[in-house]
Amino acid sequence: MDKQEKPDKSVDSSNPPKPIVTEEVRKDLKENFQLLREPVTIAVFTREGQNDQYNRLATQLISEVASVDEKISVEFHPIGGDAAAKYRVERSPTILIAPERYRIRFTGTPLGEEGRTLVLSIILASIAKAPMLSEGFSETILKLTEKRDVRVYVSPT
Amino acid sequence: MPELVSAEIVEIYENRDLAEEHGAMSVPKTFINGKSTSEGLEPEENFAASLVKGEADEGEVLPHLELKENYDLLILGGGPAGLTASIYASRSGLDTLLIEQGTLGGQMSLTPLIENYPGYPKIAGRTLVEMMVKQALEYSPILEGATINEVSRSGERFKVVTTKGTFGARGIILATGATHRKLDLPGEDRLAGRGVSYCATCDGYVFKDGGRVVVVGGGNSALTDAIYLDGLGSVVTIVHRRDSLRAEKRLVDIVKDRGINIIFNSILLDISGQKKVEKVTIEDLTTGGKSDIECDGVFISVGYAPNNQTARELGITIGPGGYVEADDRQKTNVPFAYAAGDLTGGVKQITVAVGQGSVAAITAFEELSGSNLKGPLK
Repeated sequence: MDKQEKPDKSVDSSNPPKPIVTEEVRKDLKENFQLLREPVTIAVFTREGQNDQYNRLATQLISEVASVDEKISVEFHPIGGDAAAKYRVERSPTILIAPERYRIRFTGTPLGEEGRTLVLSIILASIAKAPMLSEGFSETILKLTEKRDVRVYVSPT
Repeated sequence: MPELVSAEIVEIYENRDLAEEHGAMSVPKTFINGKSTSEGLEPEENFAASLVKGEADEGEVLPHLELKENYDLLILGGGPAGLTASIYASRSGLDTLLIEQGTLGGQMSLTPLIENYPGYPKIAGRTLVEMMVKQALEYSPILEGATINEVSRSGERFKVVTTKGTFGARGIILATGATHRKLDLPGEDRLAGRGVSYCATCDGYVFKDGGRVVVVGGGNSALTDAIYLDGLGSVVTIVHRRDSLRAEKRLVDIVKDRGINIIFNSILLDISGQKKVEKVTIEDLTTGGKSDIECDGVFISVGYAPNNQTARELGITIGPGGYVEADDRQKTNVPFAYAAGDLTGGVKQITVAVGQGSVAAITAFEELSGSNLKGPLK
């Protein structure tokens, strides 16, 4: 399911790396991804020379997550290319979830605690509803009429 | 709705320039339309209210909670003590409401891995919180993210005024816990989120692989922080005001084995830097000499201070260190007011909080049943 625009050399690796998604996690993901409905595209953007180690990790992580379920596909784009320009991606690595439909962006690699957020965002983008949110959240959010840009700063621990 | 909202998660180690620019080196930190709306974890409902308003907002009580004005028992604080008290009180038949000012779980939710809660050899703090909350919600409601403005007692009733409503009850359990103590230095607040932190496991990652950090303190939590940061590859200096460490031998040994630098008999005079922490100034208490340590981060770990504001308002006796005095049935000096968990001091363990929470609820049940002059309990 991979589509490669022009590989960024920094993400090439001749030796296959140790998997990030272990067999155990893979099983959990398989179960969680039973909820998926619509196909979800994940776009990974990288630029050689900026956070190279994390470019590799992001590429590997998203490839492994996408390989769990055929409803998830992954695209790789260099920063500076057309796709990056279209979605205004300038930081490496950046991961967009279903960019043609939503504005969900990971600036940096969703490791550690953010792994949960990554999985949740894939599922939510696929079912296009938010059944996991509390009743209170849904009631309140219906009142929203203006544009909102939410940014949350995190670290993996 | 999706067309209105964009969401971006920024990893601060990979984007340190952004974190520094926005004062977001203590995480998680949330911005809506460029405005800071929350530091730390936030209840979903409050986030939703802030999202609608476009700035920090606690919102109102939502109709689905179906809260009443009066209860048999109010519990203040949603850490392990409060949650356990809620389970026990409700099961005994007391009509109970738990009120939490911030997010549920208390200190427990900041503990990445808990290895001494029996039954769970290893469990993430947040997982244990989720399990306890789910169990408590089976019995009685929880009001989250409601700031408590006033607590009083008149006649035979307690009254609690919050930003999400006013509630009355015949009994009250205080389980408001404790928060990290500050140094009260001029640069401390100004550089919070810019390199000053009270939680190494939350904020340490950004200093991995060569970040220079100062850890202030000499007890168990300071040493745990220092070892954690050293493990990340940070260059760690411990500054301690005494001439020896006051921590478990096992921790002291690790610190020595790893050759972590310790400066004894010294206190911080200030933390300074333009947009982020650049250095600390310390004073050697034996010589009076002052010197600077250049660093990128400062982790302050000088103990905890009890959240005793509501206890004070109720005229409850406060003991040494600001901790609430409670007897072995968790009773305070004020009738029908009980205290449990870190607020009462002691060894500050989840297991103790759970134990005290259950004792407080059982005592409340016994006393409130006995004093039941206002009609039968449910």
